[in-house]
Amino acid sequence: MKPRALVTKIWNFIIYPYTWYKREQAIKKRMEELKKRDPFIYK
Amino acid sequence: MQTTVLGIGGALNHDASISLITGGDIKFAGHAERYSKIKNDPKLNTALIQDALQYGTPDVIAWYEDPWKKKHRQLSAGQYKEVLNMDELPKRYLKQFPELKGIPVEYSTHHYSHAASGYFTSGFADAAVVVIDSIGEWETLTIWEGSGPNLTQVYTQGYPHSLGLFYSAMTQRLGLKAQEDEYILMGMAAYGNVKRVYNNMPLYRQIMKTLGIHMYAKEWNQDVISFKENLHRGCNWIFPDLTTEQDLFDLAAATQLVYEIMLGRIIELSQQLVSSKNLVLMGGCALNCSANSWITDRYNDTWIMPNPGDAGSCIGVAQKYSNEILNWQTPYLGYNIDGEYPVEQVLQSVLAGDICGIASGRAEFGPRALGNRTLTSDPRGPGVKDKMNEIKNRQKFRPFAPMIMEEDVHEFFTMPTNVQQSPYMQFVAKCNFPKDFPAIVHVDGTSRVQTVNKIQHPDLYELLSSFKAETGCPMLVNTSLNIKGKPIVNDEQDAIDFSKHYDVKVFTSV
Repeated sequence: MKPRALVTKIWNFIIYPYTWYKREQAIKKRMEELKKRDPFIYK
Repeated sequence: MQTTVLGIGGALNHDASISLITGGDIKFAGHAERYSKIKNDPKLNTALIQDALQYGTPDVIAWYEDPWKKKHRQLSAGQYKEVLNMDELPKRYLKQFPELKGIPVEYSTHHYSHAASGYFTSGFADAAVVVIDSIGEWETLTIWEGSGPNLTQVYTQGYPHSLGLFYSAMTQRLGLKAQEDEYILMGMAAYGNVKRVYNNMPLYRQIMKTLGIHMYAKEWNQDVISFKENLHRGCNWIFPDLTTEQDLFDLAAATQLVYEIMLGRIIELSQQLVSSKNLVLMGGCALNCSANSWITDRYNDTWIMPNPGDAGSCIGVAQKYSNEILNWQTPYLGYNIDGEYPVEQVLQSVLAGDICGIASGRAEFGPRALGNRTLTSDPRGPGVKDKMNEIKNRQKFRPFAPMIMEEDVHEFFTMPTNVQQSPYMQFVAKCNFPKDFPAIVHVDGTSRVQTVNKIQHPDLYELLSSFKAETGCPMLVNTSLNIKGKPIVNDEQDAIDFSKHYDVKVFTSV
């Protein structure tokens, strides 16, 4: 493995909790948007 | 002097209806959909109003809910379009009907209209009245104490914590139509696996966790049921990976289980709050006959009127302004196809092994056909269910209901505890001979039974007893007489249309 690829892999490992958190937040935000777009099921 | 009241229920919401009450007598009750031919039609129409006015001229019009309280809730929910729509204020809306001109309009509240419909038709001297639906103005669950002519609210829970909204939201999640197809979810539940594990937890627990459903004891001074998620816009986002047919059946089973758990908790609360031994269950949720059958052992007697949903509230609100105890006799209160019930023709047809329709007498008030607008056949034999499902063009897994003479019901079915008769199909019962009657038995071995006695419907009773005399079988299949996607047949022309559409004989009055 090239040193650069190894460093990238280690860096990705270190920042994994942060990327996981960001991804979850993005999904949550998207979900909220989608929910708001749904019509009311009762008048 | 007796007051004549025109009660309006469900209008501008879903499934509009009208009742006409003079003194304590219910002269007329009918659904707008049967006249407009639009299923669950929320708008009133002239034909319905004119039919009702044949039975008397109203002194007052009673509207089933308070429009201003409703607008307050809609504002809070963000339904701005509805809030700004002043054309749907009842007094303004009713101006389009010249027949009702000059008659004063009074408002009630949504849950009182439900509770009064149930309690004052029950015949009980006292009762605990439980109303569960999606949303009233604000209220979603109320418990009332009925005693003599008085009805007092003892518990209330408000939007957005709603058991009805939960069930409707899950109905929509399954790809069905919310506020309409809840009964299909109930039917699908029998095919699901309630023990299914999903993400290391039983599916029903996953639903409760994801939606943040909690149940509290009365002493904790909390809403008895709370939801973290507001389900007013549905929950199509829940479990997006569950897509196969079996997944949907499992979701339906888990939903039904969650509903039954919460219903059980609500009934416990009503027992704590009201000391009566009688229960009246109302609101759209009271149409869940599978769940209803689980709670009958908690009370000596349980009454669910044939039309417990929004449409049925037109009776309760009319009672409020007539100030009389209702004289409930029959659910056959709608459009009249005059003449004698076609007993002999139907008997010969079913004996010949045919499927035939009956459209005779006054239409049933409520979502279920109870013999006057019915598609029927012999329930024995393996092919009947598929043949009827093909005619009605509906899902193959759905069974049909039996109508059976009251004296024979306990031989053929194990009825829920404390339920001796079920004239309005509000409970399910275990069939004792499922192999003999495959058309009327669901996959879980239950049937939504309609019991018939001489007083309730003498002609239908005669038909069943004649069929029993010829065959030894005391029951017939009963399903509603309607073209797929259309409301139940109302008048003679509808019966002809049905007959032409499906090439099935429909016998009208003779």
